[in-house]
Amino acid sequence: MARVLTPDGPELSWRRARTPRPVDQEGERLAAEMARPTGALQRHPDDGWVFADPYPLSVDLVSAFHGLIRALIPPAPVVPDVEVRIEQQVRRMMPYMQPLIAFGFTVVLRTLDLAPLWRGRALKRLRDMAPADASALLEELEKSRVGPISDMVVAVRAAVLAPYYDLDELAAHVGYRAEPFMRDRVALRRRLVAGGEARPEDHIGPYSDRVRALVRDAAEGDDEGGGDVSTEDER
Amino acid sequence: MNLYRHADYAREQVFDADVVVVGTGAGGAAAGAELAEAGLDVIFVEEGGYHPTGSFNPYMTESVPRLYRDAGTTAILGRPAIPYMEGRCVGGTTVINGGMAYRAPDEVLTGWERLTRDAAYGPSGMAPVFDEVEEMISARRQRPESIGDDNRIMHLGAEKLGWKSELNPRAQDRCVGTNNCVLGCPTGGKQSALVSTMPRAMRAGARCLTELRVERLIVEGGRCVGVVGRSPDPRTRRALREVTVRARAVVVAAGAIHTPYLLLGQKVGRPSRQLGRNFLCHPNAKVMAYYPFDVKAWQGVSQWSQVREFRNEGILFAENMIPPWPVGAALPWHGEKSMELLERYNQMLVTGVLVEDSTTGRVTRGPLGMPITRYDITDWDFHRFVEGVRRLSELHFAMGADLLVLPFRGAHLARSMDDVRKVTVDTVKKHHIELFTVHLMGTARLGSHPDDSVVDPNGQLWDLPGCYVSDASLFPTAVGVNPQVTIMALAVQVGRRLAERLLHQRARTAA
Ligand SMILES: Cc1cc2nc3c(=O)[nH]c(=O)nc-3n(C[C@H](O)[C@H](O)[C@H](O)COP(=O)(O)OP(=O)(O)OC[C@H]3O[C@@H](n4cnc5c(N)ncnc54)[C@H](O)[C@@H]3O)c2cc1C
Ligand code: SF4
Repeated sequence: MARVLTPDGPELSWRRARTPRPVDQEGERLAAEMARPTGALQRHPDDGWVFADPYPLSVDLVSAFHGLIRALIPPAPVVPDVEVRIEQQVRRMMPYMQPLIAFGFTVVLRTLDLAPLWRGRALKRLRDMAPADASALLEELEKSRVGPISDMVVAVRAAVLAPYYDLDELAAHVGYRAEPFMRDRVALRRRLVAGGEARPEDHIGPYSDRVRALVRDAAEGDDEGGGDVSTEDER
Repeated sequence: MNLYRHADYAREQVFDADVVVVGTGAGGAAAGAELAEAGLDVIFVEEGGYHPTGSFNPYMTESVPRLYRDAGTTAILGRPAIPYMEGRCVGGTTVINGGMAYRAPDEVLTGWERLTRDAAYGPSGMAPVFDEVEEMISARRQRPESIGDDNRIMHLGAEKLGWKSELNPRAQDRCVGTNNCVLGCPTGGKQSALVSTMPRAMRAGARCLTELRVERLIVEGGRCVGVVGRSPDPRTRRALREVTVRARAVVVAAGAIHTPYLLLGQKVGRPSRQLGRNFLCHPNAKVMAYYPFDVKAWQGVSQWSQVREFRNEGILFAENMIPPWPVGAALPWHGEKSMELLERYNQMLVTGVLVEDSTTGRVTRGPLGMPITRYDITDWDFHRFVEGVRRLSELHFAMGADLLVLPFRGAHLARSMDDVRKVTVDTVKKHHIELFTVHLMGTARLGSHPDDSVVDPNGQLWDLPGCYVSDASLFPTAVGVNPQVTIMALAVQVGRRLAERLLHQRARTAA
């Protein structure tokens, strides 16, 4: 059977013979800017983009949210203003969500705040419980056989713990020091692009005797044709 | 002026071009660059913002809302639901992807050639285009100074077990292993569309309208002649400004979910009823492994290699380390238990089991501008996930891991292979597996006949002349490998054919 194609349909007449747009300086400037590393690594980059205002939440809902944050974050290390900082970050993300999802999130906050009541656990809201008790209740809900109950805890947990571990204090606490490392690597790439070579100290790790031994064994095995751990094919 | 943002639409709301390209991701940017370099006047319309390489940083605070659709809160419905990630910025998902650069295998392309009756989509037709695409994005293996200990453990672990582990070609030029690919490469090493194809288009005089979401196509006299979009106020995300772009041809490249979403609203793609169907997504399950020594997996490139031993079964393993914040969000604990594991962040590896689709899902239009995507994994997929997790766990324990977090609700912790073996298709439920995906494909499939496909071999909609598709939606079937290179190769072909057609028409008119 012969190949068919979409019939062309009515053809548009070219109102004027177009010439290609001239290669202008603005196009050149943009092309260069798109790819240029600066190594600035700012948390709030200044590229002309405007960050949305926080999603509106009532004072009562904010208080419910703070209660959930207290219940979900680890008791240590102690971080100043942690509840407000997490709440603000989440509220800044919410305007970018689908409106239905953002609204659904507020319903989940309210529902979980009232969990001690509908779960028959206590005659108070979750925000009024001791954080350890509230945390235990959320753990129990997360294990619920009723999918939507468990899903609510999973959603709020992710929404709270992601910005929590993104805080400078927490990243440092867990040993993630991305900024100085990345700054060095941006400088390294600049050197490579300028025609330089990587130095031995530019290599990453090995960080343990165990991996050092593995690499050594592999390199020895290499003589017999295996274990290459540093192959690159430059075309 | 070449780049427009929300504020600029106060002055200018009507634009005119030869071609308007909706979306600046892998497919849109590649097609647009071809069209602009052919001498056509091209306007890109991009829903997301413009964020150059110099703005990338390791923090989620602004990176996630800037770069990710819906601030990363997107999910596919099904049992289990599958969260997915998509870029929303100039450069699309390539800005946040891992850069693995694989060609669709020949056996897949042979099927595509048969389905499209077009040799250009078969192994011999695609090979030279793959060569060009790989050149464009500098696809190559990593330099030694970009490799970290997690890469070494995975690769040597596979070797120890006698499994095939292949070094990945990646879209990178002197990548130095900062491992920030998912928040934008701050060194300019990753050759995303932002760094490779979009600059080409801009140099050729293309314009890019950012922060503008296309909401409908303009159809006149049975032909697609433009698009209408709205730009939200950046502060309130409301108070919309309407913008119209008229053109001789419209290329829709909004990704495999938003392309069918837009077209379904137009009531096109009807003859075959395939628009939105054939949704493919390569679901993925994570295994987090803890070792009794420092690995510092956040230093060094993500996915230096892939374990491809089980490729015949449609199973791949790879490591892809992520910052503490997504680890904290993904771990199934809060409070002290969460901190206990995060305090071992420097000793952990994040690895994944990727399974090739054995079924398809569907994208439909939901309320309030929301696409609804449905996909249910099959029993066979579930079996492969359980089996894949078991084998990947074997690798970790063989390399000395002391604790694994498995992706099964109710059976998360494993301290030995005995614990892992307890997890079988009989002991865990299918909907208790925790999956996610980053490869969305196949919802406006290419084909040779209007009865079984959405677009013709030129990428043009069967029932809407002037409207073309140029993104992952084109895939007629699953590819089983990372899709970016294949998407770009299809887009290059669609872009070139369209350019040829338009230039021919122009020459005829001029004559
Ligand atoms: C974390 C992650 C890692 C990945 N790793 C790899 C990898 O290593 N290798 C690989 O091959 N693939 C990888 N992928 C997948 C790959 O990046 C995508 O498959 C590919 O970019 C899809 O290309 P596309 O052109 O279909 O869509 P996209 O690249 O998603 O581009 C679509 C664009 O259209 C815009 N848009 C959508 N709707 C509209 C509208 N209505 N109006 C205007 N604009 C609109 C979007 O904002 C977006 O910019 C990864 C993906 C993710 C998320
Ligand atoms: S590992 Fe770092 S340098 Fe390499 S591509 Fe990713 S972000 Fe860029």
